[in-house]
Amino acid sequence: MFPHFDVLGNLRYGYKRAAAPRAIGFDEVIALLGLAPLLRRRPQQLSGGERQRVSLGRALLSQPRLLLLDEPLASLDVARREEVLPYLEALRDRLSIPMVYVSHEFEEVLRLATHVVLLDSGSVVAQGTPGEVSLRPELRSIVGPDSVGAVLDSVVTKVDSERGMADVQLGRGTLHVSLREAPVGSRVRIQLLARDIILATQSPHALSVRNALQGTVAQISADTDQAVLIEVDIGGAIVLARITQSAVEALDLRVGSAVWVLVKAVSTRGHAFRMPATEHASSGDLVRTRPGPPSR
Amino acid sequence: MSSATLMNGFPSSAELDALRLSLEVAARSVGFSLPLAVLAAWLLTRARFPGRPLLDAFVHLPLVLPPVAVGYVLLVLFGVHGPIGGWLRRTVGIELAFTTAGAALATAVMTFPLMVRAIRIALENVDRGLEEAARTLGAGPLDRFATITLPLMLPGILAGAVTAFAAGLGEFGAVITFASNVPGVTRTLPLALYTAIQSPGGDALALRLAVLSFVLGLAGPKAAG
Repeated sequence: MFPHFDVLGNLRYGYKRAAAPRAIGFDEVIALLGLAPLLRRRPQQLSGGERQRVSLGRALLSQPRLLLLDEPLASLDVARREEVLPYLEALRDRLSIPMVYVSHEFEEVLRLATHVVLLDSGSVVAQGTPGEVSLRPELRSIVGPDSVGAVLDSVVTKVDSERGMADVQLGRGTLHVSLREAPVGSRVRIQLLARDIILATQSPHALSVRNALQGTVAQISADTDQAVLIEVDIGGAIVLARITQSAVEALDLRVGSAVWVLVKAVSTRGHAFRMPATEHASSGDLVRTRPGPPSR
Repeated sequence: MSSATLMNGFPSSAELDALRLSLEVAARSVGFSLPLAVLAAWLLTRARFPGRPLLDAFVHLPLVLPPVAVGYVLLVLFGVHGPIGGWLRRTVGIELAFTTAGAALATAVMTFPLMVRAIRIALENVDRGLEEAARTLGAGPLDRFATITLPLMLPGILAGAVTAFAAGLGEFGAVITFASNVPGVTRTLPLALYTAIQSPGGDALALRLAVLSFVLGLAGPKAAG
């Protein structure tokens, strides 16, 4: 941000110098990033989140063909990140500019990406949709055991706006999740953390758990010391569950076993995800990296 | 001698002349040297070329040389028969030696290092990242300098100009050597003071000029903010 211009001056700096025709309009960007109340302010009078929004707007107004966002939220605390993320989602959904988003925070990647490239020490170790990458063993060592879990893209089938809950289609079954501001038919992305999943071999009843999805064990792999990771096929979709080795033995779980996947509704969070109309031409690309020697 | 007679008719027209000349010479010297000082500061901070240490030393030379020596070198170069002075007289018809413009030139040379220093520090403090950002937004080199670098170093440029102006008011050695001591043309406040001290019975005038210098020295910074 140029300290000797106000926000308006900063925004116009790139806009004035961009070659016509200008596909991204001035008013459009101001509306998209909610910049109208900030225009007369000086950069010194902006909060961290507001600064990032203005910087984004300035970059957009210079009419880029591609946006490279290198950890744009890294300098912000958690609350400020939550304030900026919805704007990044809006950019992804409303503008047809490819975004390359570099981040160390899987949460951000989850909310924004349509395609993930996983980098470890400068080399690509996996890539695919967030759903595909979430199942890859390479991801586990990078995000740590508590962040491991299947990422599932789905559609809202029923909304209970009073309770802030919604039903989403998942494999053959339906999942009841906390979700706001997503109408029926809209696309959502859900992460089911492996540590929050309970497996049962009999149909459960008299439990507070709101979700029970029927499936079969697809794979069993070693995870942390006493635990194993179980992939359960719930009808076209895979859910990851972390349970102890002794539980595997007690339930006699093996590949092909029929199980019930129990998910607490409150432990899941959906993110509304309005996919761009032309999925490939304008998909946002996200890259997740782990600190390592520079690849140059 | 009572203080009433001492300050009788103060300031006289000769004193006012000296004051006006000092202000004019200092102002013209700042006008001369400011663009060059910005260029020199930029070359010394940003440019990479083989003669840079030499230029650095050259710019600072007036700070370490006796002012009379600087005045003498100016006389040799810019005098009516000097290589530059002769050329100026023949082509543009400008004479510098023994003129008010010449006094301003001598003052400019003497205060140049002070000005360059202030501007250079300001330029070093300009965040290169901002210039890079301007580049990514489509601004060319001159555009960047005019819209980003120059406005950001403006406080330093002002500080340099004020310092040079203040120092220029009192420049003596180089001025008297190059421009001589012509009343109403090159006799600035310090030169008038010197002349008064050298004249028999000039004590009262010298004291009054000294008081004027003190007032100027104290009022100047106040006026500059």
